[in-house]
Amino acid sequence: MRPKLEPILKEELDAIHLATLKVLENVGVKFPDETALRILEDYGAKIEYNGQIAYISEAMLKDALKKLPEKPILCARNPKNDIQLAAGQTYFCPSSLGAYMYDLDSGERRTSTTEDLVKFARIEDALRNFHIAQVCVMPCDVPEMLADHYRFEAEFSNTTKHVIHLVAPGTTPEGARDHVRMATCIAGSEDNLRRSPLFSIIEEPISPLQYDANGLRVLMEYARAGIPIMLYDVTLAGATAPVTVAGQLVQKNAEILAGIVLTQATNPGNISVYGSAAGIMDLVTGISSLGALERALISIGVVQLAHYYHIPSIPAAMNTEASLPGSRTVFEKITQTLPVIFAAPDIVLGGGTFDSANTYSIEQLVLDEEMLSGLARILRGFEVNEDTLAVEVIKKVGIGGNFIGERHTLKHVRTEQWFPTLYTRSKEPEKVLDLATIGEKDLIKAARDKAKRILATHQPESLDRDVRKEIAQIITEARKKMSNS
Amino acid sequence: MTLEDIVEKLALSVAEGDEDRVKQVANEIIQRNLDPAIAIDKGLTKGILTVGERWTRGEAFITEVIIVANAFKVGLEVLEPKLKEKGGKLKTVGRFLIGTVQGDIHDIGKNIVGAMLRAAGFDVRDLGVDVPRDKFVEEAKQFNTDIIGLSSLLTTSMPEQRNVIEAFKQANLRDKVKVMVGGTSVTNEWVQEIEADARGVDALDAVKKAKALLGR
Repeated sequence: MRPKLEPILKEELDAIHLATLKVLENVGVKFPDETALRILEDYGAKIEYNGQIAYISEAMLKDALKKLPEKPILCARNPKNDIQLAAGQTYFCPSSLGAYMYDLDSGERRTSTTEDLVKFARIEDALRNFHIAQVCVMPCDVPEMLADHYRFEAEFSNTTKHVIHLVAPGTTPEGARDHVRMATCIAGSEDNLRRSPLFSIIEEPISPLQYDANGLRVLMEYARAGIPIMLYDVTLAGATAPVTVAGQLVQKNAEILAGIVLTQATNPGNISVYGSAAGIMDLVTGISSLGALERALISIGVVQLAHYYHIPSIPAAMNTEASLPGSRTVFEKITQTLPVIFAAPDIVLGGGTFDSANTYSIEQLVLDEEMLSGLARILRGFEVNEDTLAVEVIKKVGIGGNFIGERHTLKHVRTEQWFPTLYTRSKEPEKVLDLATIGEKDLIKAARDKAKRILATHQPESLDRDVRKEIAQIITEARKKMSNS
Repeated sequence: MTLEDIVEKLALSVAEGDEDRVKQVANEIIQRNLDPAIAIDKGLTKGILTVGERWTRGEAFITEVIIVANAFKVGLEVLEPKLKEKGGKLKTVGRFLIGTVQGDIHDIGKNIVGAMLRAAGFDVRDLGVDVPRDKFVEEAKQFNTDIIGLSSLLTTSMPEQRNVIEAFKQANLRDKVKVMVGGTSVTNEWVQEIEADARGVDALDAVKKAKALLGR
């Protein structure tokens, strides 16, 4: 038994698909870059050069989908951490791009720095339920153009997991080439990197229905090097997308599929992943909400649409607007994450975040990993076979006995039961009776202690010293070039 | 096989919870007329303490401890009569008489605590469920117990814990035994009210408090 949620009917998916085609063919998508428009034109798109709009036909879409690789693998510095997509497994990866974080020692909210990148990367390397790494924060102590250089350096040096990288807005096509060179230092050659991509990137359309010029150029740069491209809308229902879930799905589907067509036209056979960080605008307060509970529904739609097109999927979840760890954080994170996990996505992106992904904390990353490990237990379901049906042991224990001391219990307890790492289920009634001392404060402290323990003891498998030097050299050159221009 | 080897084998068999092998090795020890005191101390007790310590550190399941405690009991049934025959005495952390009070037939919590106490080196006598107060008094005398443990899950049977303590007072035995109480509804206030000595919040806590009461 494995929980599986596929609530959208085939005819409903067909209807979303047909509506999407209407949008792609009649409204089009804006690609404000000459090269992108030419590539799409060569691929069969009708182009309106004045408005920089590409009209994409069903035939183009079908062709692009045919080019997707059958067995996409996201490779890792340590092959043990390779991620096989489209294989029925669900993997977890932290969220990213916060400029703020809570300091692990002082607890104060402050802008994040390059030092923090290393800490996040090391913690992520140690946490088993994050199968893929992505440093949660942006370094605010380096030029924006080079932020991703430092993020990659921290990730490549401090974790052997595959790296997903939500591209920072300051990254230029030249910067993207640098990132590919950095990964090439590890892979040994560009061909190796193309065959075994050590990182993936996430690019976002600017909803509704357009990409930005720099983002497009960066996307094509990575695609030419064979880097997996994950496309991710941040449509806000009621503001940058229709308020109806179905309408939001139609629009975001058009945006993502158009990006996939461009990716496959640029580099046929490139790994494409169907993502979404869609949320809502709260039309009472005007707040852009990534903690929205509606995400539970939107994300199921995202995953089912990705399955419909046979594209691997990466919905975002584990988000909240709340600005601190606590009840609301857990409420929003769990509500939007549990259903989408049951929809069987390839990757769920999320973890470490508050404040609609503006603020992060290492404690929350640890807390989220604990939650994900629990959710993963539910997702694993249970087996039904002669041994698990347990008739023999039911007979043996008989009426009125108990199963605590049975071999059958011992044999299965590890796989059947989930055990927390941040608390024990030991009973402490004195504390329960005293509201001031229970619960969240203890849990956050446990998470902080665990994080500090990891930072003090966990040594990530180190990167070859010459490779480190080469990577550092690429950054030094980029800095020089920047100050000269 | 030397005495050391065979005793080590006994310890291992207990730690693995292998009742059949424990019985077989214990019988071999009797047949070869080896010292039962050493066999119990360095074999049975060592085997059960290993798993007890792992459980205390959160590294073992209660299930393992109970399986091991059962194997320990099987071994003790073979070796203890021989020990007594030779005039020896069981070396223990303390003697603990445990039972579910009259009016209550819940025994899972009590069984777990009993097994955990055994795993911590206590000599445990378990009177079962629905135990009348006089039986607690009689058995306490006979067993010369250090502590009695009164289990009660139901709030309706909790007053019986007080009755048992009264019975010990009347038999002039209250100052000779420590009284521990346990059960979901039992609180610290209740412990004070009925003048018990301690309460085990859970099995781990019960073992800790029992040791503390005896100054261990």
